Amino acid sequence: MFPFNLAGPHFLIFYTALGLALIVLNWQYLRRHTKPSGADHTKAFFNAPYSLAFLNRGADHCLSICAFNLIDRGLMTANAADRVSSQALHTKQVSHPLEHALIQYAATNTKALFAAKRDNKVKAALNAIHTTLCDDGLLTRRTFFPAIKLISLGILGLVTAIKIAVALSHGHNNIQLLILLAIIFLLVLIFIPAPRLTADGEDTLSLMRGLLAQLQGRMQELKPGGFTQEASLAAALFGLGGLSREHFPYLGLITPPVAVSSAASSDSGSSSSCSSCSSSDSSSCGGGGCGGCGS
Amino acid sequence: MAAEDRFGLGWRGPLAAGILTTLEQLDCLELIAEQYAHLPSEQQRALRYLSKHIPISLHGVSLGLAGSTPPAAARIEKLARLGDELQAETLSEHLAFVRAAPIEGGAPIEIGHLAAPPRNCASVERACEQLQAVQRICDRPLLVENIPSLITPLGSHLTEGQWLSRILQQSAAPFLLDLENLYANALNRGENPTERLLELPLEQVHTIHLSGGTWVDIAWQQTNQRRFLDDHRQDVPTAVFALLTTVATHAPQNLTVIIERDGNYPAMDHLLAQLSQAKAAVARGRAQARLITSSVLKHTGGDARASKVIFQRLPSDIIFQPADNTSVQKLAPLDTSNAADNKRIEYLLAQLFCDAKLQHLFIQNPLALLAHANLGHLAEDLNTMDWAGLLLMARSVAAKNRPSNNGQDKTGEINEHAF
Repeated sequence: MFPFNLAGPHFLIFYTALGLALIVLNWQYLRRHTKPSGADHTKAFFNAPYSLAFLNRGADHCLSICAFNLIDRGLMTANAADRVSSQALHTKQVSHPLEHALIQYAATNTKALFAAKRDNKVKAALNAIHTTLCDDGLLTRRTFFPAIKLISLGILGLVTAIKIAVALSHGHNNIQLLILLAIIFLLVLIFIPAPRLTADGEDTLSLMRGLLAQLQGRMQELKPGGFTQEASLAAALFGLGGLSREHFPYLGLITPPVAVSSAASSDSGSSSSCSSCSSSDSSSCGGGGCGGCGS
Repeated sequence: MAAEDRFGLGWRGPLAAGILTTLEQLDCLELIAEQYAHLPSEQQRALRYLSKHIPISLHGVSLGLAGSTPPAAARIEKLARLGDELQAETLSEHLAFVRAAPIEGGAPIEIGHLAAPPRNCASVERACEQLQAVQRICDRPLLVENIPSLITPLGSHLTEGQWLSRILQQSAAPFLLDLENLYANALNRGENPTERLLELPLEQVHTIHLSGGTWVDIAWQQTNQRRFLDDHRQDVPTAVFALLTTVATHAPQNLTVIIERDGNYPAMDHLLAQLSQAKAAVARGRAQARLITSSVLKHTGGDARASKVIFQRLPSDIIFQPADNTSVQKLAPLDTSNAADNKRIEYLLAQLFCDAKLQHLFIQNPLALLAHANLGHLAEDLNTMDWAGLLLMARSVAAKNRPSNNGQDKTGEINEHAF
């Protein structure tokens, strides 16, 4: 039976089934699209807490881990909630571009930590991390818009247009529900999120969690000084909340405003990282596939 | 240092971040087999991944190679399988007993702690047989390790050095020499650790364990006794580094040195500093060996044969003398038929370590309990019994089997996590 000849309710059932099928098809494709490459990325994170933090929860988390590391090394001071300060001469004692940029940002006077991502140098350092993660195939690129989405949108748009034309040609004006469904399906198809992490990204985090799992119980024992790198790596993966506020009283001052649970990092983490983008980035992220402030 | 001397750490979950961030500074890692076996699959997968990036050896604590109750074949097979999974370079186990069954048959007591079996010819034979059995199943080299021992077990006719040397020489197994265990045993017996060290076949040493211990006070008959407990929770003592230098002087082969830490974890920088001390200790030993060699060659004009003679005449604290087997041979011919006695002794000791009431009875009337265990003929051995050591051993067993131990101690996991 030619679907366009179906009566209203029957066509709507057909149309709903088509819309749902296309959404499922797209969802499955996006998942399959990020098959593990088999490449070994994890070892690079053994000594890269900032990249790990970015991969895990995005730019804000990366910034707070960097600030934590600098404060623990005595190169930065947390003055109040989201307020940090440093001195330009400390740049000589760091090598990572993000540390360098963050010290410079906070060197002139007390600054808001999470506003640092709008600072050109800090933003460039964060973008460099993001780009590397994307280039390594660990984060999905913001521009990722597969052909299957275009085809699906085309099919859905075409079917809708033909049915509306057929309905109008038969003198039927009750097409409001069809238009509403079309808008819903099109929006879902457009914004159906690509996972923030690729399969390789998820695998890397899974391996790191496996390796550090037993450290979680010891995080409260980590003390200032000496443990900096260990604490940074652990916090990059499990969050600053796992560390002792007794030992690190400034933790509350440098924790990202919206805490994202580690478990939810792979998908919902995208929203936190998107919020770290510049204003134009934020609007274009649409809740998926941004993965940070890549511009 | 020999070109291939290697230095690494025992992998412990709580040290993971420190180890990963400094992996480039480590040559190898050692993993406790029983801990690995009971990890969730995600953590096992992660460790298999790690094993592709750094050589890993697998260290067992629950086979009990020198005990009268042999380890079940399934346990050995599991160790072999884990070794394959991790592509472990080597496997290792202790020359100890960890379970003991009554002679009449029945369920063995799992001690949850490494314990020294009677040191006699029967246990030497037994250990060698069991080593062979394990080696038949495992494709990888099996190293055997000396253990800390707070008491000299009843029925021991050999010194620890003689006993270890016999097993090592008879089995030709590579030796995992735990210098801290050797040091602790010597301190607790009032002996010279270096002398004890030089009794051992150092040419068979493959790997060396370093760790730290604590002096523990024990009240015994209104006196305060002190014993050195190898708890792996402290820094490696300076004296143990000195022993390491001695090994490096006398053992020309490549050595793998592993620092073990099982609690009271310091920052990674601190552990790396300990590792640097170990490297320096080995370097000193190697330099000393080179100096001796060149000086001897100079003295003999490069005559290798003459050099060998001079080497053999050097005093034992300068150059290694092979284990003094003559002293073993001079002993009365040792009878290996006391296997049944060994089984009874191990069962009695296991009960004493694990059962506070029986321990109390034994302290009150040891002869009666020995007679009850058909070991009345060993009454003389009570003269050399270290009662404070026995109490400390029982305390240590209890601590390791306490649920709150929570995996802090590697041997404490034997009961809960044995294969």
